[in-house]
Amino acid sequence: MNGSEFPVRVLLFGHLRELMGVSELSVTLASGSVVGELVERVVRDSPLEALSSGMLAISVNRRYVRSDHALRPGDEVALIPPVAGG
Amino acid sequence: MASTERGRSGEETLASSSVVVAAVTDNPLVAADLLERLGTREDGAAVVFEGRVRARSSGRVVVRLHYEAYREMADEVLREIAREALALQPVTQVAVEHRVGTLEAGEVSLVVAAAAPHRDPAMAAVRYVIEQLKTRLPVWKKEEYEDGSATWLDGLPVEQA
Repeated sequence: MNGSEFPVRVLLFGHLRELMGVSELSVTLASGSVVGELVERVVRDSPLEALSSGMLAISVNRRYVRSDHALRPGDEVALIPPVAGG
Repeated sequence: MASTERGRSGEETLASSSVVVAAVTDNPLVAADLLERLGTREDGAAVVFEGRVRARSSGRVVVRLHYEAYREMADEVLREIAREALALQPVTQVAVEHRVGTLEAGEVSLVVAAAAPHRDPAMAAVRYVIEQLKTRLPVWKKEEYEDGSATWLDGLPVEQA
């Protein structure tokens, strides 16, 4: 890893967590990366490919964000599958 | 301070309004306990909703449900929704608690309550909280059936702001 890259934590829940077999990933990103690129990285070559990524919402530091949201070192990202509270 | 002020929605908001509790919890929920914590002498209405684990889903017999939450975020989302309800309706207090973990059929998974001078806003606030959390609270549930099988329930995709 060089100075222009940084790691982010990616949290997984529910069905996604079971599919991936882990509740958390660490992904190294190039500086300037946005949420959409991170999702592409995680989904590629994973069982998640079977899921329509249009169904996934993303949060950064516990707020929902859009796919063009720029990521920063230390961000806590979560992949939020369709929710079923209540 | 004036008795009313403008909420961000432009609706009238009671100046002393507050979120009594908005949180995810591992503990059993009792609607009556929550209701008891709500209301002032000015409130002519107090409403509580209790969501329970239904023993039947899509024709199958549900034995129990496993609720999973993105806990820290869920607490924040519940607070945000409760504050929105206060801003939208002239209610005095709003409270919401969502249980996580394993619940047997018949157990309480959700309690939402509101107190207000008048009944319509109180009922509207409770409904608002329920409808909103269905669309964006980061909570998931896995149903376990009589035959031992289990499945994650299809949820609602969260629409990005």
